[in-house]
Amino acid sequence: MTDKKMTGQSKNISRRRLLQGFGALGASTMFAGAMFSGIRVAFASAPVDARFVFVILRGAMDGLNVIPPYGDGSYVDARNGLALQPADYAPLDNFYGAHNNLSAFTNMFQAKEALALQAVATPYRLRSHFDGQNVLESGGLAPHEIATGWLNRALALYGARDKKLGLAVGQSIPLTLQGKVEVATWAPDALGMPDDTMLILLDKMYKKDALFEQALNEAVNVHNIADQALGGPDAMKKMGGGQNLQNKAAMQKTAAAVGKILSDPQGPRIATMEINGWDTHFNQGTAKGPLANNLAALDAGFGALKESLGAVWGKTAILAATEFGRTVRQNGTAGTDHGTASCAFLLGGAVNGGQVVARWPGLNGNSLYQNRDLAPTMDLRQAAKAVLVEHLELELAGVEKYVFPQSAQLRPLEGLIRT
Amino acid sequence: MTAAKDTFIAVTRFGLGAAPGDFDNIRKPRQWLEDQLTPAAAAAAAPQNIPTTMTALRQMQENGMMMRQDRMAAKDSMDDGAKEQLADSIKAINKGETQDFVTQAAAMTRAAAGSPAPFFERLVQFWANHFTVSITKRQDIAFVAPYVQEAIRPHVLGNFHDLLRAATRHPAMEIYLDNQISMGPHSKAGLRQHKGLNENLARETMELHSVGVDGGYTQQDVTEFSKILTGWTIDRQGRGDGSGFFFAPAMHEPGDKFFLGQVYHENGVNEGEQALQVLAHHPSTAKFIAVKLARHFIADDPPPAAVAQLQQAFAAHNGALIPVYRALIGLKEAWAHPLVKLKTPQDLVLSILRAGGFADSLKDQQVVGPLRMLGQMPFTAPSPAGWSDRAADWMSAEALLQRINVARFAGRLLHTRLNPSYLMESTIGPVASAETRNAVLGAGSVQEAITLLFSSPEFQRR
Repeated sequence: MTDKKMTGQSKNISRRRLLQGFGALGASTMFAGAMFSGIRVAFASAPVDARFVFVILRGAMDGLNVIPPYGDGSYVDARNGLALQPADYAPLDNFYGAHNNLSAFTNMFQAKEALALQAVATPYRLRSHFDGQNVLESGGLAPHEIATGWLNRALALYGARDKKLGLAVGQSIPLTLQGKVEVATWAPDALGMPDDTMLILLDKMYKKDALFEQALNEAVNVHNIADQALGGPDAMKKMGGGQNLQNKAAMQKTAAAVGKILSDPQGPRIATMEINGWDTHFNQGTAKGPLANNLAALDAGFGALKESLGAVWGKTAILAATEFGRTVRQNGTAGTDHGTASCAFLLGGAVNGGQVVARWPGLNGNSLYQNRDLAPTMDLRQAAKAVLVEHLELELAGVEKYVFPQSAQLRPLEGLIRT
Repeated sequence: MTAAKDTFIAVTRFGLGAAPGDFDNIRKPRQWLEDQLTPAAAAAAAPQNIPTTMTALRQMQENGMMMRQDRMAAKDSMDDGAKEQLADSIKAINKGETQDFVTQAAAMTRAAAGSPAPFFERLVQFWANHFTVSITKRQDIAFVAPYVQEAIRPHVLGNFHDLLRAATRHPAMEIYLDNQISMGPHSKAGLRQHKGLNENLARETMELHSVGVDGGYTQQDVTEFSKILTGWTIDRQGRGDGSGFFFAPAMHEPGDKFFLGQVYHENGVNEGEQALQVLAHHPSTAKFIAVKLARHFIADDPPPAAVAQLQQAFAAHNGALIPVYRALIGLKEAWAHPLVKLKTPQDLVLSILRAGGFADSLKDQQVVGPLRMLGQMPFTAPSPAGWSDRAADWMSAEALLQRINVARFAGRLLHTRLNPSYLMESTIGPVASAETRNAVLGAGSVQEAITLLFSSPEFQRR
């Protein structure tokens, strides 16, 4: 029995059943042709054409050395040795600069398609990474108050069955995309699909386990899109790429691939990317060092996304944000400890760039939050709401009811998105 | 059939997966688990040939010295040869460290896969993950394996306080969470070098290792605890007790501290010892540990009644861990069928190695390669919170494809030696569904049959 080869007939029957099982989700490349038309039909009705990428900067980014407020007379003293020197940043206006390793961002800023938010924070005010990230991603007021992610709830507002609207880049789905709406995952160094005989057997075997069945369906589906967008199943392997997006080369290649996937008219509309390594307690450096290296990788990602999105760049917004900032003063080990407000990036052809959006709280003694952190004067949800409403064309009422509950008093920031 | 199912649960959920013969040999599954909670059983499972912490420290000093010499030579010299020499030394040291690390990670994986006490081994892994150290901090690379050997393994059957203390004192943790360089701003060294506090270890010891983020502390407590812990550093000169820990009075912040509502009068290293006692026996710690154990052994969202029983056992025995493990074995929720936990990649790879009995025939890279592919290379957790224990963080379309690819890899290696039908009966036999049986037995080749077996939901869950 175990060595018996499948007969042609049973294989065909199984394949048909498999295809039925995958339904409108499509099928992998070996079912090419006929199935692609099915996907295109599903996508012709995509409820939104704008593209959005949310980049999660995990570990608490030190915003004061990313978008330095060099025009604040207290900046250098307040950082007691950790401030960027004038040679380490490019001025964005007469008050704020951008770290030298953000050259692509700075060019986009000057071309008015990138902006920075400064002194911004989520509603979370304690200093746990994990609770902070939970609030950043869930969109609630307190950790673990909401079990799903705000981007997933935003997808739900489209009321669409287009599962492929959301794409998590990486092997797992970050909380911000977890929820009722199914989303796809795609990792740059996947080994490709099992052959069709194996797929058919796997599909039958997974019938009674929803977690496995659903994951297999999505795998078949998303590889179809990715293969198509990237020019064949092996294209990504040739391009390289990798899972560790702190690595500049890996980030560049992965972001290029993500841009291509998103630029496909039949592809997903909303994607998440994650970069670790912002937790700079020790020797964080200024012009050079761990923070500068992470910024270079992030910036390479920005540049590669723009380039590979091509014509779709014009309808794209990218928001990059961290769970909280770091202490204003250098700690005892040439680094910084967990703080409160930080900066965030918003860029893309759809963004009304060329501005640093902030209500600057100041850095002298009394203006610090709890005498240690940059004080938050803006809520990150104000920017996210502007993106959801003005860019992704969702109704404000729905956003305030489902995506960011308890945020009605927070007006979406005006003037972030081109009109 | 029920007895067989209980054995399946004992070896799969509590252990590291079934090995051929388990269903015949293990007649009293609960007793089999209890029998592993002895020092003798624990010793039988220990991996061999892991360097000691003191060896790793000496090597670090020697490497440091060599680099300093090369750096001086490069600085003084005008010719490029000295600079090349420096670059070569750095490269050679890094390469050697990486190779040693892979050898150690593979040795630990093989030892777990062959362990006669897999429940004990799972507990080692649970605590090593609770007290995570990670080579994402590169300086930790030579210390992570000795850490598990010396700080975790000897205390798994002891009191929680022993574990907390050993983990906090070990160089791997001191380096990972930056405490070896944290100085009291008013200490001798702090004043001389104009250096000061680093809060990292203090915060994570409370948030992640003991009372938990809601355990009832403030930023002020974090700062005060970090002062208490100043001077807790690594034994660079071999002046300590042989554990790798060294208390440097010159780095310790002098004066009274006020931590969790108590005054700590200046008392050197004893302040930290006292604070760890307080944290280990704090009621919030009992709760925090109970939730994590229940999540690991029962369900991602564990039933509150089960958590309450573990918490009670922890508190009633002042943190002694064997009574907690006994309570765990006694929980009816832990024996509920079907098993709902998704195996982590580490669980999956170990259970494939156990089922196939082929860990010893694999090269180091073949042992750790699948773990890397699946995103759980040993000692590379992305944050001090350690690896997730929830299915939502491990399952996705991409992750499933990688799991199937690992199963394919195993199928390729095993198809000439194993009969799939026997392999199925000896791993998931008591719980195999009709769908899985049909798929495995209906496969076109032995290789495919093994791939399907290792990809089946019954094999992928625990």
